[in-house]
Amino acid sequence: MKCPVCNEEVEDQRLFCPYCSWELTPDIGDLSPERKALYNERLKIARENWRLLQEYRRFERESLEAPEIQRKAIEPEKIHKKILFCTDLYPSSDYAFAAALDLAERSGAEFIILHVLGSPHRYSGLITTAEGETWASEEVYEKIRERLKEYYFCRIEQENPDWVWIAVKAGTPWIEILRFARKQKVDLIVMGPYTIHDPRLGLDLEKPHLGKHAQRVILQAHCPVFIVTSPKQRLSFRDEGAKST
Amino acid sequence: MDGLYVFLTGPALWITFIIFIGGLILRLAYLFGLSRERDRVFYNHMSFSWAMKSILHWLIPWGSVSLRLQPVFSLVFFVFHVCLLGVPLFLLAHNMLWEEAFGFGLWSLPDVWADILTVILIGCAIFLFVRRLVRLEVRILTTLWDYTVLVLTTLPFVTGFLAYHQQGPYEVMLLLHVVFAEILLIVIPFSKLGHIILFFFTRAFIGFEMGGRRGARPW
Amino acid sequence: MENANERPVDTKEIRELLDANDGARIRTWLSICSRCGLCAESCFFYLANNKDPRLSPAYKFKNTLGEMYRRKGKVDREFLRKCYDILWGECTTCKRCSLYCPFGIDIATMISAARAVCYSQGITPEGLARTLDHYREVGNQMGISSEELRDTCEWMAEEAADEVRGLEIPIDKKGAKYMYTINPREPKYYPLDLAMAAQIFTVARESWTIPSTGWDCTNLPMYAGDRALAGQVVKSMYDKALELGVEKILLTECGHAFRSAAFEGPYFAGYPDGKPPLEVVHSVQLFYEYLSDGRIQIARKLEEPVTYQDPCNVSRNGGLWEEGRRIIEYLAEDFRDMSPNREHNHCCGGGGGYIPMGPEFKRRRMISGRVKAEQIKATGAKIVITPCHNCYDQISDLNEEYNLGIKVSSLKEIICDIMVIPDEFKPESQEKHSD
Repeated sequence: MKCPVCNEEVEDQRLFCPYCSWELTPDIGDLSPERKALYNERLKIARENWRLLQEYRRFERESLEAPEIQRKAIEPEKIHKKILFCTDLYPSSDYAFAAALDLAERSGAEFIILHVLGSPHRYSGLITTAEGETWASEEVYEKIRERLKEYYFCRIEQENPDWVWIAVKAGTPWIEILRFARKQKVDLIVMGPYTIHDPRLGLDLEKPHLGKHAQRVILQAHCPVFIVTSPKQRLSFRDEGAKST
Repeated sequence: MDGLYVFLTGPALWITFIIFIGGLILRLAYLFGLSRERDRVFYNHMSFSWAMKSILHWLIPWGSVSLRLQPVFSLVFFVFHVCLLGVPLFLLAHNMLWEEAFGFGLWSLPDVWADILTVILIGCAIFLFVRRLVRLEVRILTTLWDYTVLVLTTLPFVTGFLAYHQQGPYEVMLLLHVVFAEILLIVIPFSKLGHIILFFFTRAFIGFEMGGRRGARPW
Repeated sequence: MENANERPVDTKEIRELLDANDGARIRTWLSICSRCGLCAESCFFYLANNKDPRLSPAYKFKNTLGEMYRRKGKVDREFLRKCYDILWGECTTCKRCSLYCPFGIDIATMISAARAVCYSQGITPEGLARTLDHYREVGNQMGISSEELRDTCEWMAEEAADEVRGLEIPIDKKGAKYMYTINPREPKYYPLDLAMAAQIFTVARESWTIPSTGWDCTNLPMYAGDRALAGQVVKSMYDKALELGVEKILLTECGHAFRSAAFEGPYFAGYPDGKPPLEVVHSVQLFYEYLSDGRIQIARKLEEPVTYQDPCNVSRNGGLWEEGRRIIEYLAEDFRDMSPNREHNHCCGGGGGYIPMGPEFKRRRMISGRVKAEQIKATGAKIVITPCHNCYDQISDLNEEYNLGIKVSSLKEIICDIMVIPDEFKPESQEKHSD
């Protein structure tokens, strides 16, 4: 079948498109009208994002002097040896992923994809999943790891790259990111500027702001932090107050 | 009839009082024995002043937050107990009997007062009975025994009142009065009516526990 | 819900437990309850659930422990499951009811005894049961190893040293004045609490240390009904304190810890006189001392209206409600007390193991928390300060559920935010920045 987002040919039994990681729903025919409308909205956004991503990649490749992606480091002393990419599993971190991956490929770095399951409480350790609140158990971690693999590995050119690995933690995101970064002694953290709570609003409806977790990571990390926003991010000179993340 | 009356106010009364006082003493002694083993927390944190405060605040009407939340009930409950203790102890008829038997008696109320207090007590008892039926949180807890005990407590007063005013066959009323009173006295040490003594101990304990150890006021 | 244990109920075991608990107090309480119903209005479960009479404390103990004694321990699993719902789902053992009973019957103690019986048959909430294994293996509820604790302390010391020069988190320092014991949820989920505590102690020039074992002062086995384990946990804390030769045991801002270490713990651990071997001091007491002695000064008070949540085990069951309020007076311009307050304040609904018990109980917790939510709303405060982790999480939840529009904070957080850092502790390159 054809992926409705990127138009590539995909095997029928696939759950995710290996090119753009769109979740291939078998049959939208028997969804209720509201669900259908929601699906169509999401599809629209995903197509737009895919288009932008392609443009961005093309722009990037064209502006580089070295057209090939080399695994060898260009300037050994200046490389990042370990890059930590923090994802919130929303499109708000997609551009950060592209940038982080690019850097990792160019500098031959170890690339870590980290997702932190956020807790609604400070001290309880409970996390919110699709099934409601629960404790972060090995099963939950495994499921998230699988999802992360599906979502991100299809965007890496190399099949089963051994320089990429996935970590999942639970707690307060910025604390766990910093704790992990410190333990792993990473050289660079890359993340999106904020997390979207409602994907229907799309990336550009969020006023530019720095989310709570991004703020704390920037302020307290012991290594450089790259915040990568969407190319379509609107500029706003007025401080209209950030949407709280 | 007369023979029965003599029996009831003679040997039976003696036995009743022995059971009443002896029963209470035994119950206390038994609990004391249990407590030495399993309730060290009672002894470790004793504080006389907190025990007193804890007891006194619940002996006066509206003395605690809880009583103030239900002011009418508190008043009725307080008056009920005052009459309950006051009338039998200070009744002229009773004191005459004591004088006859032992040569001394307590100060007596004028009969008019005794009458009024008895009627008030009966009124309070009716209020308490109805309250048990009407208030959901009380009804769900109340068992047949609770109703029975309340009625049993009131019966000596009702029968005594009726006997005094010569309503109904006098001798029967009198006998019933004595019988119910004796049953009541015998039941006291073995039921929740033991609270006449145990109230002081449980209140003292919570006074030690919340007040003595933490300064929290259990009233 | 319970450990999947379908074995038949061991009535002999139950009878033995009931016997061991059949002291004068419980026996008297069971027989003397006159069913007056005054306790009902004291219980926030009753008040929040439209005054459902089955939620009155007397009903609760009568139908659990009362029934167990009446049937002389011959109960079946069906009955115990019903008890489970009442004992853990409808009571936080906050002890407010014992202030309202004419006889001073301590219903919470009876609920705890009944919990012990249920636990002996393998019935206890999943959330608490998970922590019990951690306690047995590693000695703390989150299963954190000593190395992990050390590592977290080092990390936090590094971070905090940026704000307070020369800050250290000494571990296992012999002869210190205070042995600071913490709630494992602090290093596990919010290690900044350690950093903040360290900041306060450093500025106050305190002699303190964190022990490498026996550092978990909370005592979840106490709420799960496992008395033996509860005793072990407390004993390991006391023993470590004696080993290090410290003067006093200091507890982080935690309600369960105070109840366990200072009041019930000595009995679990087998100290017959009920007194811990060392004095146990709560953070609230210590912070009050610092503020009133001037060892910690406040640079600028909070301007927004503030209210104070009395954690049951710190205030009513700990006696520290005045200290808590005096501290707030140092910290805030506009303090608005809740009503009722002090030792008569309501339980937030999250204690007695309720939050750790997990998502199964969340719905109930949110419903019964309505009483607390209304109290907070009535004060009009914008900040709720509470020295207890469970109250913190519960009030955050209530804030969402009932749209209270407040911010919750612990004492440490506020103090660190607004305290004066004397020059000698100011980090070297102090750039002026507006915050």
